[in-house]
Amino acid sequence: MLPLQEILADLAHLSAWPVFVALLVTSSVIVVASDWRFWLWSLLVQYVLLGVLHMRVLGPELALIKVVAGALVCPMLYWAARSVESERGHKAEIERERIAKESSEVPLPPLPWPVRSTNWMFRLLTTLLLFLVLYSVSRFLSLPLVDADIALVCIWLWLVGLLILVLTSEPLPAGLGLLTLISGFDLFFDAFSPGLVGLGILATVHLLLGLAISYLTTVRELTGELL
Amino acid sequence: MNAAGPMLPGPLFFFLAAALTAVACYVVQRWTALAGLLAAVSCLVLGWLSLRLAGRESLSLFGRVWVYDGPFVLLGREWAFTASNAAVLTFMLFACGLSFLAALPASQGSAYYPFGMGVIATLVLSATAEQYTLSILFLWLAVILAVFILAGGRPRATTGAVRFLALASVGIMLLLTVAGYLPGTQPGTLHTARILTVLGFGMLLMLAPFHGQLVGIVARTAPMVPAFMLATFPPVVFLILLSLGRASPALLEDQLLFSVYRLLGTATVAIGGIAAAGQRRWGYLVGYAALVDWGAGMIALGQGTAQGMAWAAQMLVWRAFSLLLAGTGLTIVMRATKDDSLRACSGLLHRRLPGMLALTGGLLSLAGFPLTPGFVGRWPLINELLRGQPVTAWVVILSGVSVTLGTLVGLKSCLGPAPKQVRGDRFAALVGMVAGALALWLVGAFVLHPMPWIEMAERMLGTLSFLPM
Repeated sequence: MLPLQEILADLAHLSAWPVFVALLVTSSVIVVASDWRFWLWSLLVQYVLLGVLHMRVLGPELALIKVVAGALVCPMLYWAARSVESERGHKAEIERERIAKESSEVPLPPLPWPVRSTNWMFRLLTTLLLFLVLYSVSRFLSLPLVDADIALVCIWLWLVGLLILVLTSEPLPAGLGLLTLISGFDLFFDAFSPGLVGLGILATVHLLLGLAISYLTTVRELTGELL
Repeated sequence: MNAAGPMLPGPLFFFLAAALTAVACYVVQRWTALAGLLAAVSCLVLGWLSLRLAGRESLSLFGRVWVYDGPFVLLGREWAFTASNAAVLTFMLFACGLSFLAALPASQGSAYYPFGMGVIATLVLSATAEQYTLSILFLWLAVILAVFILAGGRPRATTGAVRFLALASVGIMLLLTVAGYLPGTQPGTLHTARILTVLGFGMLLMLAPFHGQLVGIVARTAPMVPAFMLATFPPVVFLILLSLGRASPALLEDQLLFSVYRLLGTATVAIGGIAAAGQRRWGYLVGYAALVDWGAGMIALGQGTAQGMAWAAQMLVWRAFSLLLAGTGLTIVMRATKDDSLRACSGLLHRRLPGMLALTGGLLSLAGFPLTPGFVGRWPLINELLRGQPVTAWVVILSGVSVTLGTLVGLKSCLGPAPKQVRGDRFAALVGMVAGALALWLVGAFVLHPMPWIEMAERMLGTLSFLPM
């Protein structure tokens, strides 16, 4: 057996606990951090980690499709966020120059983007609270057809995804929340043996969602209507 | 059947035709009128073909059969035309064709026609898929494509689009999960499956407390988008619900879904009614009026009888027509004033009489006002409710009155003198009138002659033998 195949075979039999701990960190970064670059890196790592768990049910080839679909979403979001941020920065610079010229006042620095309606401490405490909720329900809540450790990962990703969706209506963070939620569902859905067609459609769902979130992020920051 | 050349199975033909039209619309999207005409004509022609396939006729041209009503199989999965899904597709295609036609006078966003056709193509696959899971997955793809139409280049429409995407996705995930809890999969999980079904369909059917997405869709998007959205998604969701009920009767047997939908439908009607009278924007007024009508449809569904289902299906048809009328009017109003607030509409009753009449007609129809299309589905339901559930009946009646009052307040504000910026735009008015007349003729020919629709609805519901008459 080739070394890579050996590694993949070992990974497929790995317990979900180390991955769960790593996912706790990545999803918490998406909730708590304020800079969108951290969110996207965390999302990318999250897709790779989930790929390891997908391997247990689907095998390495199909799990790779999931990782690739997820990994393709990240650059889409990156380019959308980058273009919006640079456009905002450009407009803010022009505005600052105008204010400085007209009223000889020192203008305020531009607001960070995307604006989040809660501060990081609140989000951190809410995430901790969510973890406590997970800890307390994990003893009696089980999901059909999946192992207990995988079920815990699924439930955590659902909770975090829902928390992000509740906390914001901005397309980029809300979209990341939705992607996190769907990642948890995707892992659970493996147990239903969706077949190649089902897997293909779910990968398409991820890719289309990436496009849709990128589109919404860009449109949200338009100053006029693009008709 | 002529076997001389290649023939396409119905579902594949409809998917390919809609998808190719979507590509063509995208190519010519710079010329909005051309893209709109292309989309409208394709939808109406496909609707007519679907009507013929529903009658079990193969489609032939030049003496050769091109499309037959057999199934399409790919990787062991099957898509097929049945009486129920053909009825739904026919209705959807005609309603979308009309909404594309009525959208011609003003821009609805560059994504409206190409992505609209993309949504239709995906919903064809969702409606004709034989497997429940596949239907739901294609519905999910259609939901994501619809986001492009909802946002449509309007920053203020993105919140509604995000809300729709999030709630519909969560609903779809719950419904996909149902398969794991169905009887036979795990012992003693039927109750969980029922709760998941109620929640999932409740989210997709935008019932209170998930009604915010409906108001967001109607109030914040381009005027014709709501008519399109409510003519495409709900019929397919109904179809999936009925197919699931047919495949697993145990899910609906205890009437939990119907009882919950009756209660939530009443709450939806009440919320819409309370909010409608106080609105100061036409968009929101149409949004809350649609919510009242939507809730009434859910109460009809919640009766849990075949008759209630038939009323819900009727309301679905008339709602699409009402929203088409209101959307046409709102398009003309928005074109004239660039603002949908009641204050900005002063003088419009004189300057844009056809537009204002269409808007008022649509709103009154959504209110279930006597002698309007919305009246047809609403009043039999109210009569039935007055016999057994008088409180619900009065909630429906008073909510209709509230929408009517809101409409009258809006009309009053349109009586004042016209502001300077509202100028006569003869060309747009002419295009609007011609498109409106054509739409009305088509409506008269296909929709206002309701018997075929009712028959189709009955055929669609006929297999639900567990529902009492």
